[in-house]
Amino acid sequence: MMSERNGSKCWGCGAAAPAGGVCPECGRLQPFPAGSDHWAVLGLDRRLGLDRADLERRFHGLNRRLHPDYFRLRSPEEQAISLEASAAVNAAYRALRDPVSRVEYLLELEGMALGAAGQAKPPADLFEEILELQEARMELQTADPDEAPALRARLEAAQADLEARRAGTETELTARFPAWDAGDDATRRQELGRMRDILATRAYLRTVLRDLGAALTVPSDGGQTD
Amino acid sequence: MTDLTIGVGPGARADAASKELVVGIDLGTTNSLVAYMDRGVPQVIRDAEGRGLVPSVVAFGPAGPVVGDAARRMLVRNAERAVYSIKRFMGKGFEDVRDELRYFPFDVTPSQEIVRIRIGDRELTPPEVSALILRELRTRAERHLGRAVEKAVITVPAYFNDAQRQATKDAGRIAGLDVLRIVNEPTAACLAYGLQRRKEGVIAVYDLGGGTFDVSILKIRDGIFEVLATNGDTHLGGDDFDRALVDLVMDELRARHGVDVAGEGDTLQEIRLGVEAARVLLSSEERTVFTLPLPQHGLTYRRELTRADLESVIGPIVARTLGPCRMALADSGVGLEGIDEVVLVGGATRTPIVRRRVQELFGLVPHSELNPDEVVALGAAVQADILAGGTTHMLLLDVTPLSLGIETLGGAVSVLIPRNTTIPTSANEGFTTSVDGQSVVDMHVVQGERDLAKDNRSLARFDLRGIPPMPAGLPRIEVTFLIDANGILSVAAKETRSGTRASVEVRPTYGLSDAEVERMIDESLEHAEADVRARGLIDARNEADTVLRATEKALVQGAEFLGAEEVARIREAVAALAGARQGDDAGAIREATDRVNGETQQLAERLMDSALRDSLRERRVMDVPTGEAR
Repeated sequence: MMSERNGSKCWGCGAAAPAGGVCPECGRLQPFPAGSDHWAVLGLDRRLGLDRADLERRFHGLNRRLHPDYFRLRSPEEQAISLEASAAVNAAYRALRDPVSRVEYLLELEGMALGAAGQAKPPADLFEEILELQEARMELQTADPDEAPALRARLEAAQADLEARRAGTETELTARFPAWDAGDDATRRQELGRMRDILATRAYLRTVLRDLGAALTVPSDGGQTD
Repeated sequence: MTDLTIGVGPGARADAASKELVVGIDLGTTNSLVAYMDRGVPQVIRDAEGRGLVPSVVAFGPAGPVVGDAARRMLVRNAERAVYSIKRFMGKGFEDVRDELRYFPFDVTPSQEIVRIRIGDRELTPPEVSALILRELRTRAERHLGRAVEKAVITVPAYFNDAQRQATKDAGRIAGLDVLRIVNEPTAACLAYGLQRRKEGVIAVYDLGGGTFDVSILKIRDGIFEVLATNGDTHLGGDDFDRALVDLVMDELRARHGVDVAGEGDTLQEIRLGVEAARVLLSSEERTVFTLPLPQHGLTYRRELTRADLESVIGPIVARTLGPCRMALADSGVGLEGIDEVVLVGGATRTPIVRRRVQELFGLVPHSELNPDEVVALGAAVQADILAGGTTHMLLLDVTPLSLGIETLGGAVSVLIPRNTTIPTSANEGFTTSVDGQSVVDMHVVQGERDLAKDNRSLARFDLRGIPPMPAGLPRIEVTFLIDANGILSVAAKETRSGTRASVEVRPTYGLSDAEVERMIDESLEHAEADVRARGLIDARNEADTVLRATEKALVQGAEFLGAEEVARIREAVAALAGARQGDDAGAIREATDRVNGETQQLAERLMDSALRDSLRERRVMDVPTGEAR
């Protein structure tokens, strides 16, 4: 993926030079090739299983080489390359360091990105429970002072459960990484579909939790609707 | 696999650059200071008395603006002509600051736009006032270093938004400084600490200054200072402690004495400075007495203040800093147990209750080995040296404090760059048209964490122009939002179907256009000339007085050497000088002074040899041009 394998040439002197690095002949900073994905920018193959500490080392090391602070006295072209390259490294690190955003990015590359909230999917086993919770949440807004504490306690317990469930989706997700990394095209498509479902559940839980959080922080004197 | 060994950045850079001078400036709400890197060690530049702090006060006296201690002394006598805490107004609209104007004795012109302060017949924007402070710091640095200072790094609160950063940069330009970088204050402080101690780990910086509060969480590793998260409140600081105390005094004056001093600018200042002094004292003492003579009301207000009194008044304000701390902790992803050290920055952190609250929250005894008033400027000097090519082993990776988004249909916000994203960073967003043949698309860029655009900070409105005529929905306009290492936004746009580069017209909501900044640079030069003229007149008059006194003395003491004709010529020259001294023409005064000097030349020479030479030597010394203001 990295361009030295593609034999890229220095934009300044034409010598062979590594993308995102410095030309060995003339010392000019080289841009990343247009369309480099986040893995390529960090010098990695496209894999889901990544080591966080290794990512951080790459992030720091690349910024050491191409951060705009080091190019203030260079030509405007190099300054622009440095700015763009540094932004690309920062974006790559941000997207890849977190397993959830890593999968989201991969789905986007594969044209399978989750759309807006419309595609959020309730977990089948929790569907009933969540419907009840929605009712309890509405009740809390109009509840009498003597009923409110019990309702509130029930909602808080549910909140904790759902929060744990949501946190669990990350583990479910990372559990699929080795299969995707090792799989052939068909396996990968299948795994990606499963991960997409996990993310849809996660998105759904997030909405439910946000509504719950809002209901629990607003004093139960009504008037507040989402 | 790409080679990822950590190098020391591109070579050749250090040699060419090592001679460049870049200073670091902490432009504070209450005090400002300038520092520079002296052979690898950051140093604050001090005046002859050893003071590094320049009070951030600008007073507009008859001889032009004065800055610093001299201006601070004018606060009480000339309250409506002395501007302080200008930082609170940077990048703000009149409506934003309306509620706190009652605390300020100077006039602010009501408008829909940027704040304008009225001093006599002159109107100044906050960047212009800040520019006067920067100019003072620049002059101080130039005197100390003996060379021109044209480049600077200026610090701002980490939680400053785009408009506030831009306003700070504008202030630098108006002061004739090339602002190479806007650096966040807590990060700068961390650089100073990092340079000194070279320790690694995760550090929380709690920065409570005169007017702003920031908290930043940084990870230090191999010379890289990576900001993990930042949060804060740009309207929370020591000023607010003082306001709460001012309110307490005013309430008591009303309740106990039936006296309302709300309309008395000078009295308000006296109260403000008095409670500030009392508050500072209560950091080390348990009790103090606040005394305020009010002869115009026939009374003297006296009140004992204990530390407990102070803490009950400011406790709720200190509590407001804890929310942002928790948010930063959550966003950093490290959690409380991940914090290795807590560092205190800003004068207000000397207050014991602040230290206690910070210690309770983080469960760690906070550090403050470096002077909390100076550490930010020291860090700015370090960053200045990095940019000048001097320091190569350190690199700062900062973040943007606030989410950047655009207003979508219905007034909601679509976030393009989330808060705490490492900068520089960019985001692309596609737009299209909604009407056939539409050639302009407008958009509204906001900064903040709220869901609705109207609840966030409006940064600017953009028009994309020059879109080629196409059916609705067909043009694909790709807009790139770039936040640079200063945390400042720029926008570029391209119609991708036709390849046309659409032009972007920026209308900053609470900022100055480039043309306005250029005009202010010109005006500041004009005013600088007017100020120099006014000061020149004062200098000329002073010099005339000295010469007149010395001449009178010499005429008496040298009478034996003088002929009647010579005395008459000297008398005539003296009369002409006394006449010119009454006028406003500095040139005429100087000319008349020169004439007196000429006429007394021979007398002076004769006196030189006599025992009376001292009386004239005094005058001769005064003849030497001082160099300044001519």
